[in-house]
Amino acid sequence: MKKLFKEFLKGIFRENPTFALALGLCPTLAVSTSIVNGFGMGVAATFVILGSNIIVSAIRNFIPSKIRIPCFIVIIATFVTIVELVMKAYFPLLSKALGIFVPLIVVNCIVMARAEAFASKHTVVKSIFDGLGMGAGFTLALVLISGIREAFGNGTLLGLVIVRNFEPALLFILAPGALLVIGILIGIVNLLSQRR
Amino acid sequence: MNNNILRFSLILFLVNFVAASILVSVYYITKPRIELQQRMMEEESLEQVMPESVGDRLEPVKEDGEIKCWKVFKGPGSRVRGYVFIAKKYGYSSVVETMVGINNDGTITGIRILNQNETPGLGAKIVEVVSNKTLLKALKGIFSREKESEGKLLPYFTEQFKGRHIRRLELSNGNIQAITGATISSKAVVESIKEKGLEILGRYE
Repeated sequence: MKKLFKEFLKGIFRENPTFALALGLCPTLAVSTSIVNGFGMGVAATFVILGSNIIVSAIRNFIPSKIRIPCFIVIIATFVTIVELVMKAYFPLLSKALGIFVPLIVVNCIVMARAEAFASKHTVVKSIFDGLGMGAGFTLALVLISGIREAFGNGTLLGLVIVRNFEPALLFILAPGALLVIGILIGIVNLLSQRR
Repeated sequence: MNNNILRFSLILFLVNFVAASILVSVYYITKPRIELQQRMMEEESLEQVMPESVGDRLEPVKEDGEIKCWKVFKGPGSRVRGYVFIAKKYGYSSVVETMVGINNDGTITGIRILNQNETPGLGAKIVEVVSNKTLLKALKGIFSREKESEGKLLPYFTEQFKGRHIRRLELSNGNIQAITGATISSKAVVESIKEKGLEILGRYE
């Protein structure tokens, strides 16, 4: 049990997908403009990582290693499409809010990386915890980045105005601002983990 | 060697076949619900772009089997009061679809963006709704018992279009104010409405 918990925790700090593994930076740049967006993307990605981890680890012994990559891609794409269709049909408001983010998950390399590096070599139970941890770490990172960007670039938090008469620095909402914020945060995380 | 290729192809085929059959069934199960949701959204939008249209009669104008626009009649057997149409134009990263209501003299009664996939935080601001609550007020609101109701908030960008004449629509100060950092998306909305609106006015006036 303790070991499983460790698999979960590593995704949040030591192997955080954004800050330590530097994976999935492309959607991170695009999506981390407001906390709501960042959180929505994080939750949707967590769901897909979890689902693909489960299936990949369940069929890992049937798939020859030479053709594992195309198989993973098909599994992940199928999962994302199912999520998108179900959300459109039963949660139209959520699907409207997330818009383009759901199809974007297909190209999120964290999903692929976890399928390849972890799920294809471990049991289903372990893969579930790994998926949950990676998803939580990704969501946390996105919320952190988007919180900073929303506060400085738009003057709001969760869509609420922080201080009146504050002229926001648009740079933070634009892509260069995301690079700045991510760079500084990676620096801080590295500094913290070196001290230990 | 040859044996391996055959085996790999077979496994790949199997994986793809299972994935495809799952997708096909999910697609057919969700299709009617998705269409229903879309229709409900369209009806709601119709009310928003043509306020006070309750009880009015809407008549779709079809061309080549496709709905071109809707004529709005005031009461039974009376004159056309206005038109509702859907304007489309490619913005920055997606086709922006806007539902527009106009009176028969060409003034806009309201618009609503139906579909867009513009950049979040920039182009997507064409549908942004600004709450006038501040963070401090919202925090206080959690602890106090009275709930402030804000009424129904509408996106500030699309609200600018209300009451303007379709011919005089343009992006400029004092007319339609573009969204900072999202001129292309703003332009797509204005131009699509102007083009389609003038076309419809010219044809049916």
